[in-house]
Amino acid sequence: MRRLIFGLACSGLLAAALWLVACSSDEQVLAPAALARAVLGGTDAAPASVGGPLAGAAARAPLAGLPSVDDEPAPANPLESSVARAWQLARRGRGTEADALLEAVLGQAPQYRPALTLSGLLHAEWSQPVADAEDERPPARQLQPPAVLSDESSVRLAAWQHQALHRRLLPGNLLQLGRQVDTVLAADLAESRLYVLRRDGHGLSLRADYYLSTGTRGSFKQIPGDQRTPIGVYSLLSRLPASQLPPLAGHGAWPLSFPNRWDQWQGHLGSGIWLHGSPPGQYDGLPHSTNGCLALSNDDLDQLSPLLAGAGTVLLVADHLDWITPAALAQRRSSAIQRLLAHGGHARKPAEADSLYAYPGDPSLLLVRRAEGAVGARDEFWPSGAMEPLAALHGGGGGHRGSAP
Amino acid sequence: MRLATLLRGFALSSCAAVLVLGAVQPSFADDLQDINKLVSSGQTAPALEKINSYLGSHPKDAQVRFLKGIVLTEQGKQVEAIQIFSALTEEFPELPEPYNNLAVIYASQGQYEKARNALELAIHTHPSYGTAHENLGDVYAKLASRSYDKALQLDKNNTTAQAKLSLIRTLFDKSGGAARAPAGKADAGATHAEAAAAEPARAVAKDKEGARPGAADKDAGKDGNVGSDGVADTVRAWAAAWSAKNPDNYLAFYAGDFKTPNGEARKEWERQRRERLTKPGPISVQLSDVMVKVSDKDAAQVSFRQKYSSSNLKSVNLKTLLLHRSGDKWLIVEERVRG
Repeated sequence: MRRLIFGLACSGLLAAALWLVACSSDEQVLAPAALARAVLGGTDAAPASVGGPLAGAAARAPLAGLPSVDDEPAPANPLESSVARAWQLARRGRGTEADALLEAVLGQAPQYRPALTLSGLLHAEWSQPVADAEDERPPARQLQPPAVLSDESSVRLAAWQHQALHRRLLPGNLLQLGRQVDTVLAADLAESRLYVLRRDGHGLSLRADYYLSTGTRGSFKQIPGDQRTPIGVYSLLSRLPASQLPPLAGHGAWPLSFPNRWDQWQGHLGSGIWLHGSPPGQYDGLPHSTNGCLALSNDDLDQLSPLLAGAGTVLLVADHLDWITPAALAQRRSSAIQRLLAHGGHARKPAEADSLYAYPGDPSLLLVRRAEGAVGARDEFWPSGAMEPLAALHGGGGGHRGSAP
Repeated sequence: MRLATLLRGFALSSCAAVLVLGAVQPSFADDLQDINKLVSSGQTAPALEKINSYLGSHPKDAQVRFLKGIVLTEQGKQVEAIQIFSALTEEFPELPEPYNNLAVIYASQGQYEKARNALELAIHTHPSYGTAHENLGDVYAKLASRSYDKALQLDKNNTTAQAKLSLIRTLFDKSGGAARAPAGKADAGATHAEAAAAEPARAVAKDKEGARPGAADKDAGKDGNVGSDGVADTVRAWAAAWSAKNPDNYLAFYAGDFKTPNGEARKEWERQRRERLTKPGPISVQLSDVMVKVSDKDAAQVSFRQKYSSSNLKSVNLKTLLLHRSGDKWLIVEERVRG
């Protein structure tokens, strides 16, 4: 049996409208495949080997026995990587295979939204009246997915595309990491993605990345109840005891150290910003659906949880992560140190054990986290032009408004 | 969205079916005609009575069992209807109609996966079965919107109507018979399904002829066709001129006041059609299931399934042509593609 309309063409991955073009001739069926190659071409350059999984991730292989595609993206979550593959298959006109793959995914996770959305798109495509001669296409059924679903697919597709590119790069905020830092969780809110970087013998490298839901009203939290996710550098406090865990947090919750000293200086208020799982009855959330928390699927949270409570774990939350090569990062680091020393007075060059961050959301703001020093006074925030670090401006007390939610 | 067409006829798609037909006795035709009349006039109880009495003496008769399935479906006895159509798919796996009708029932129950499987089997047996294609499109549309609802955790199952697909009403294709049956009588608006079904053997013979793209009728358009019988011949000749890539002959089938599909100027439309018809590579246009309706002596409507194939496109489509009589010819005034 020949289905007449197989191909799905993405009108441009970053385009808000992720609409799919019906393909009715063989030539047209080839076009989306070519497009897919063009759009996803970057992934050829970056072998998947760097994605050395976290502990246990290797055992969670993608669904077995299903077709694989070269240069496929491979997110750490096996359901997600299967849907990523299904997208590629669909774009290449291999809709039947994509459909089978999605069926298997939905067999495991019937509520997995990305699979439901793509399945809907495929079936909507197949529901179209069969094309007549070239110039006589019958009217199409209107079966576009609701905007939130299109938006989510766009976000995920964009992230899958970027993921492979990121593998040899590092977030430009991480100018210098002291030895005590062994794990960086870097959240890119525009991509709805949490990247996991770990230190190994060769320095820091990207190990995994996960889909992430964040604040309904966006980022840059300033006041309580604004449903925004804070931007900044945080640590994760102790896991909430099960007795304090609301159902919406799913398998667990780790409060962020929001508001930190910089937030306090800026007058950012609020509390109870957590990294948590997903409530029963849903696999994960829409990209912008929390009250400001960072939410993962429970599967992903379980996989990450051994890292979360570690003293060496830093959480970086940015609107957009800026991925650059280690060489470019080294350059950026030296110019940042020059900038820091230009402040004069109290500015000291970070020691090897100290960390230096270009602060998310404000490239001119430097955060120096000293390895040594009084508790509460180890963080120095250097806004541009300041003659003294923020700790000194504040009298060095620190934490006077309390940093725990 | 139009969702319903219960397939009314079994397309004759295999030798097995020919053998079934070959065994038909004259009395069978009478009984079948009676049953058909009762079924099509909605008298399901007497129809069922007659069917059961007939099946008492001919328990294996596929066509009457098929009709029983339809009557039971219409009476809402889905479990029994499913049994009958399932048995027919097992005994005659090469026939698309029982699969189609099974799908109709499954879809009415909201079991779209099962409906989809059945329709894919129907299409597998008969790749150009228009009704099954349409039904499958409807099932996919339902599957798509159900996926979106699930993704948004909306449970619309209780508030949205289930898909209503098209049941096929009779077991045997009537394309040839319908196309050639005398039209313009009192029941001019009706299709000729009943008449054709009553003469299945004849329908078979015509179907074979009708399956060819009107080779024998090549010059029919030029010769002129007086009378409504000529309408179907005109349409076949139109398809033949298209297949022959002869733009002059092809365009001669269109009336001066032909409604161009996108409202473009006639000249522009003619230019496009000439371009299409004369591009490299063979074109084949085959018609089947040709149904003629003559609404008055000078206006006719012809519906058919059009199988188009060129070097870069293959499609199957349901098309309706509206024709007006002009002197001794029928000319196309409008061309519609059904979605």
